[in-house]
Amino acid sequence: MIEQLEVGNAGIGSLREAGFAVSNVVPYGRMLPGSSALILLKDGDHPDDMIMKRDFALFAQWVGAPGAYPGNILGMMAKWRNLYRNAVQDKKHAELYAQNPAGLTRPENDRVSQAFFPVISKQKPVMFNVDGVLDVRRAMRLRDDLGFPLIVAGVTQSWELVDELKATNTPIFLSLDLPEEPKDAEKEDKSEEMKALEARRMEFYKIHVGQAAKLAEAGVNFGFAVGNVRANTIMKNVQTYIDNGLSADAALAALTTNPASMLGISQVTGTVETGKLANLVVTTAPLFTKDSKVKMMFVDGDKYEYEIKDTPARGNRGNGNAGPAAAAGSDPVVGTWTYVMETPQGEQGGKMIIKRENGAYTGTLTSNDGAPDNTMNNVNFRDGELAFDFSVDAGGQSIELVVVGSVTGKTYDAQASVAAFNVSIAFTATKDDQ
Amino acid sequence: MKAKNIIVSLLLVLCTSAYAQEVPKGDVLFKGGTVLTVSNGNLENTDVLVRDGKIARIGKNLSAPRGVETVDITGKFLMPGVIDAHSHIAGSAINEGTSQVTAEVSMEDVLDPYDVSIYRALAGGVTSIHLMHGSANVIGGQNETLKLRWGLTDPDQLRFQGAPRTIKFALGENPTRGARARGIQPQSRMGVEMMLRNSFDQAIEYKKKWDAYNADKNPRKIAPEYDLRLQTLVDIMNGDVWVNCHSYRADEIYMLMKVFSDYNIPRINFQHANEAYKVAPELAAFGATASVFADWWAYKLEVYYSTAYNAAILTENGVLTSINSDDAELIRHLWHEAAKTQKYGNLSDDEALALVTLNPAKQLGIDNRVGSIEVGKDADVVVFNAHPLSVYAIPLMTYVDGIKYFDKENDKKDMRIYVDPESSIEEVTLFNREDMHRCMEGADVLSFEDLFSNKKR
Repeated sequence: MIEQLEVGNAGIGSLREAGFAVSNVVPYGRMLPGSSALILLKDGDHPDDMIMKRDFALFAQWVGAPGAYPGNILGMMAKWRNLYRNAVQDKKHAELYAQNPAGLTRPENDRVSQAFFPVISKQKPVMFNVDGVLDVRRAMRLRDDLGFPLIVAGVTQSWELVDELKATNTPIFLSLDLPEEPKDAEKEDKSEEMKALEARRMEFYKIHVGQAAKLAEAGVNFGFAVGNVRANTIMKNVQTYIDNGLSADAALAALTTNPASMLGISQVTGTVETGKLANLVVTTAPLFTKDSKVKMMFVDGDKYEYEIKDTPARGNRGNGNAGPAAAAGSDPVVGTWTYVMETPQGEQGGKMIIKRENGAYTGTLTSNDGAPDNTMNNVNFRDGELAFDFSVDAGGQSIELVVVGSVTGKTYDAQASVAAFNVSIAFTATKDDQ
Repeated sequence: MKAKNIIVSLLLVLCTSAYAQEVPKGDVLFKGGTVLTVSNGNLENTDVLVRDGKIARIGKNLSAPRGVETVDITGKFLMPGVIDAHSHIAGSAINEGTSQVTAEVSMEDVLDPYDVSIYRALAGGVTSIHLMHGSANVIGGQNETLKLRWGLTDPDQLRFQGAPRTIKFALGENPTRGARARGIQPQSRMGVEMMLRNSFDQAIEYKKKWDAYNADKNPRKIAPEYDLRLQTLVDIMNGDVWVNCHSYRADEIYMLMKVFSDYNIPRINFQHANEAYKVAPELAAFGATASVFADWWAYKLEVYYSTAYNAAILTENGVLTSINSDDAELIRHLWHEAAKTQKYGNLSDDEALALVTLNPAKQLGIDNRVGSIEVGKDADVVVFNAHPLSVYAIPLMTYVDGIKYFDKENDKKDMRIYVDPESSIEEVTLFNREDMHRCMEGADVLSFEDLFSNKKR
């Protein structure tokens, strides 16, 4: 993760403004993108200023390689078993060689395999980013078969797993990405069937938002995973769990002491105690009351102050630098661009609209020929390089195009590649005058 | 004493959570029905006693032990639960089609106990399925035999414990179509055969390496690279994994028997096998078996030379044959499909019923547990209102391990066990067409040009 960490990333500021001082940050990628890092959410000149632990957990997720092996959950489960078994063998080989190399082949410098070594010796956990119950079970199944220490994070359906989580003492980070509350149709003459279906949908919504209370009641210690939830929704969703039975004490523990202990940093943070890090949040009212806003944050002793307005809180940092809501005009990529893509069917073009919200870039690609808009995913701009991907629906099959290129003034010169076909095409864009 | 009981039951609860394989088992007395044993003819006005999920007694005038529920089935028919030897329900994914040999993947890893098709199949009298990998590649993934215990959500609780491992192979148009689209081998039936032979040759080399390693007494020996794919092929050659091969044409069926003879692989179950009737004596001589459709044909070129007499011809030639669904809808009335062999081939009642019960059980290696009504077998049974080979037959109750999982009298309108809170109500339909044909799901590859075409497909 440390190689992907950006000191200036606006996500750091917006998460801090939501009241967070420490984050387990995970790398971008697919099935096994790398290791996570524990960082202090402070402003540093260099990533090293923020690091608490650089390789905390081996990060894993169920994201297949489109068009290549392993393409889906079938292949990923098998690939995991194969990688792990070979890593166990490679580790043994490396140890024998370290003892005495005489007569042995030199172990290959296989970095993928080596990444498993501390996991195999149980010095490092695997953090599986999983959402639904079956995804969690599949991670647990690999853990049971292979024997590595497991943390499950981003879990959206935990209620059927309470016994297993407890019996196996598996650390869990519950997702703060909650479903929208379903809205029943506003019709006078609703059929009984419709009413019954709406009632069942609501029943499961209640199960979703009541799961934190259920875990706490069963004595399962859990933390929360923010994932891709927008910073200004985080505390609102914690409040939803509280409104559905989670006690304020348990919610506070899930934000402080529980994650500190699961991440192995409870000696330095998680409680307000002499000798611990000055990671503190000051709010205008008790944390879990409706109008409570973050007034000050202390991270590792550094103070950040926020202006309290009547409208949604959006403050500037104490030292006067631009906060997360950077003005669009000053940002080299935010705005509307006109793009052209050289497809085998000829040129295709449209508008590329990039916005910045809560520190993260979002974007949309429109099409001149009337095709539906495409959402730009994983929009990333760094050192003059703009990268994003988008998916094209091709007869029910989702094909991903990855676009990477450089921004020079108002021009964007990039290649769009389709891994499924091993093909790249030119993608160019010019920023519109505002 | 009471406190002790509480402790014991607490321990039981703890054990259940730690060892998820524990599944509920029931006791019941079926009283006074016609029992279609399949293995031993029909028994009129007969009782069947089930204890702890097993058939304990079959006879007349049995009385229910204390606490055992009696179910009066006078005038009704009790038969072994239907076993579907080819199904794609209850799986989160069906094809890992990104490589032409994926022996290492297993359906066991991707079970989906929330698929409502499980309940719909129970309502069609089905108690076990063979959840198969798809037919996108020559050597596909390993399959999983399941018991349809609807409502249990730990995937392990659906597994048919002790069932032999099986694997999917595929010949003909499906694997070559995918390969042509991707520009890889095999693009023809010749290529399919070579891919099989090459794969087994690689597995032999792999086994040699590991045998040498295992025989090596040196404490500082270094293990050769582990390869789950090749290891699974070795397991096939050792007879530990049974091959179920998607096939249609007689020439490709014969080809596979030749390949398996060359590599000393004794066991094959041909799936679909529309032209198996052309090579029925050869199949019988090899000892191969077939799981076919009753009368599905003409949906592509390689299935034109088909006949509804296929199952009957195979049966008459001594080939162990079953009839399967390969479909989330057809699975609901497989007994109809079995009955077709009486119109097309005059099979006896027992022969016809065996096509969807005892014969698939034999093909899957679970006939010691299910497939017929015999003392000692699992109480996986279904109660019909009429003889199941009648077009008027309707399943009334379906039991797995003596537990009732379907009861027409108490059939709730909404049997889903999970409802997405963000789903829109309009999407809820009784029958989802997408579930129907999953054999090639995820395997279709479009051309690069198609991606940018505005044409609707």
